[in-house]
Amino acid sequence: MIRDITLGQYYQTESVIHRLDPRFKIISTLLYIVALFFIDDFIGFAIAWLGLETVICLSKVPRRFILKGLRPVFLIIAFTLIINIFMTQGQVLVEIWRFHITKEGLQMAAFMGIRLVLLIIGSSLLTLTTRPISLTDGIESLLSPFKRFGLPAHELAMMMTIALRFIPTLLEETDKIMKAQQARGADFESGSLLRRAKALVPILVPLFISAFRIAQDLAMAMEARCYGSGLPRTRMHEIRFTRTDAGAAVVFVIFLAVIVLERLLW
Amino acid sequence: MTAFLEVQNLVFDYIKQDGTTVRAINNISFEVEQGSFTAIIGQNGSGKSTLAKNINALLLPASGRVLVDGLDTADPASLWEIRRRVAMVFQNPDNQIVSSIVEDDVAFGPENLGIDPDEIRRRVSFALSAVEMEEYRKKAPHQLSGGQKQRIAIAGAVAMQPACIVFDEPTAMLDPRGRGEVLDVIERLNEQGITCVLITHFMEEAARADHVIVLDEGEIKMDGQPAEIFRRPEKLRELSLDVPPAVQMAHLLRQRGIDLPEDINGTEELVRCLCRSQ
Amino acid sequence: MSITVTELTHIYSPGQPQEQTALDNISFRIADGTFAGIIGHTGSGKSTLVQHLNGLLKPTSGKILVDDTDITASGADSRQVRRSIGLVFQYPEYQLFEETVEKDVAFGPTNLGLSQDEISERVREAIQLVGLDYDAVRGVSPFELSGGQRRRVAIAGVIAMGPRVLILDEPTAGLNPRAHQEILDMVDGIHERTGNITIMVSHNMNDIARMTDQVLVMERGRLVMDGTPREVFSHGDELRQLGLALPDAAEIAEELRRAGLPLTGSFMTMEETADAVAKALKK
Repeated sequence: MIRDITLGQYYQTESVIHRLDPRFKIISTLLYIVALFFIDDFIGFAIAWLGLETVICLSKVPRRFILKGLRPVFLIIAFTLIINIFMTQGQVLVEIWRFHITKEGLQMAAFMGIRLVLLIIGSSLLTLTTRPISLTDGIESLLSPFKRFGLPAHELAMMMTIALRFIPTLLEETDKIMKAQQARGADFESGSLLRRAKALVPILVPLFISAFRIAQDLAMAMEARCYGSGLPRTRMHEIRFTRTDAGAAVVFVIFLAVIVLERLLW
Repeated sequence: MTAFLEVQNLVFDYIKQDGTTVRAINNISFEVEQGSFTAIIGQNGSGKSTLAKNINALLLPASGRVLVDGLDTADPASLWEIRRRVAMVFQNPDNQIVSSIVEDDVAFGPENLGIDPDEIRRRVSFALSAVEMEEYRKKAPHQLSGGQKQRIAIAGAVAMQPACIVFDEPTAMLDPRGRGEVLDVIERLNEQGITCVLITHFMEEAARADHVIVLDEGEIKMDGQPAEIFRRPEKLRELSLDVPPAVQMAHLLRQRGIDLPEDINGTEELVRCLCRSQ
Repeated sequence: MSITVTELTHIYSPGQPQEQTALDNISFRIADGTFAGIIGHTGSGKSTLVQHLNGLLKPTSGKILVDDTDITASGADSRQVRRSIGLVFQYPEYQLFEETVEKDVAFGPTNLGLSQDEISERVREAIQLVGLDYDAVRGVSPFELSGGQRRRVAIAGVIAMGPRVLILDEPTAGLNPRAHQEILDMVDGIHERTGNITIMVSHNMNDIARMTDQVLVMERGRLVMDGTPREVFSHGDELRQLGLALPDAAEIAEELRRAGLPLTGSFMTMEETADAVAKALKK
């Protein structure tokens, strides 16, 4: 079950998208998300989808892998759809007991559904095609202008790197502890809410202890590898804004312009 | 031969939560030769891990001195130079890997030292091939076995181009296959000239070293070549340490009236001696 | 009590790209009072197998009978199963969470809904059975104990549930020789005193050869050998092909045999080998 989680995972392959400057990818993803909320009709979504489709093809990430990432958020999407279908006022199409399904409701639900799916696929493409280290390097680089205001950009990026590294480890640990407590007769599935909350104590305490042990070991290991030596740090993979990035930026700006024009003209 | 490490009258105290101090290391002295393979063996609580951390200034002596290649670990000015020359590999393979991609983790040390990116790439490739993990360079650590993770940790140490690597119980959490892999790597690195210090509680691992130090209750109880150490199985048993199987067998055979030389360490030697005497 | 496993198969994530057969059509029987050992590489399915035996995992197909009760049946009471079959995980000390040793050991029995008197009685018995001084440790935080002692407390936590089968997944992993031997002596002692089935997963062939009556060898989810240690370890070549070692005594005997020393039979202890070698040399 834990192995299935792909949200925030990196997919290793060689592609143009993988090679792009992470800073460009982060900024364009953010702009893309903003654009999704700017779109107000299906033609706009079609254009956004076309753009996304192009990126997926270029990225060489298998569609199956991308869709798997959608599964954990399926409930959220379903919930949004239901809320929108039933809660929007307007021209009534069907009436079931006290609930109305309206034309506007259906349209709204479709809008929100498409928007969410495009948003999630778009943002997961960022993590799928950018190695975690590049991602954090990109964030560090983008945040570095704020260093003069006391923002610890490097430390924040390091924390993210470590968090990404240890998520699978801690998930595995949680699974192990849960099973061990179940073997001692612990029951996480039945009883009142309070009872269930109390049943989490035997999992959380060992998990926290584990996390502290990891933190302690890791701090020592990092120190032994000269982290914090005060020497200027270098990077194996330097981030460079190349000609490919410039090309991609031009294409992306055109893409944004089309979306804006579509909204203004139709 | 010159001494790479010199430990002189080292004393180390731990301060417990209730404020009392516990003496973890009690006045020990020894030297490690340049290019040698030294094993430090002892029970939990014998002070062996504390000793390891004193070697590259992760811990500092209460009294006495530790000299690394002539540099005093107590001198703050040589701190990073010492850590560059003496790399360390720890017990838990999971808790020392920083990055979620193998090659990025191996690059972590050189990056901290401010090495040129091209040179880092060269070092990472070299280090990964030294532990035979090139094909895993793009993998995530959680997809690897315990032995493979430990080899990545070793590659991370090798990439810093240290003169010496201290291995702090690197095999304690591994299965036999993983243990074999890691030990083979250590031996190979030693052959390439890296001074290796292996902290362990497995006697068959110590048997592969050329110098063994037995630690108990913070003191050196035995110090010598493996053969010299294994010649005294009673003493080892008294310290609750195992004797390698071949040594144990030789001992049992001598009790049964079979004449065998004193310096048998491994099965091969035992077989050779027995089948010659036949 | 006996355990009969018939055609047990377990597939992780069936029907998905990462589908993986963890157990492949496994059948065996462990008779009452047996000390059984399970050996095989990491990832060979040992842990998956033992998790089935106490109902933590449900098989994709196949059956597990404990005496005459089918614990894999859809209506089976999983609490009842976990109560009668105790499972001690690898590094069990990492599951301790209570403020005192006594409270932690009481966690299992309390979950079973026993009376307070019964719980106290069982906790005391279990702590004594794992070789700890009840009065000295009952009020101590488990985190103040040494590694070996903490592991004993964790094992006591399972024993206090009163299981009739005790399964231990690598009970000595990560321990140094002294603690290793102490834990094994303790396991042996418990087995002897209770007379129950004990199942131990281990990588240490010396321990398996010395302690067990029956050895199961796992490889890639399949059960490839099942017999007494003497039978299993007489298949040196096959075991070596699986990348598994022999007990030291058998390993040395094989080397000598290969070098031309006439040794016959299989050897489980160093003394056996030494006797045979002495005899062969004096001929």
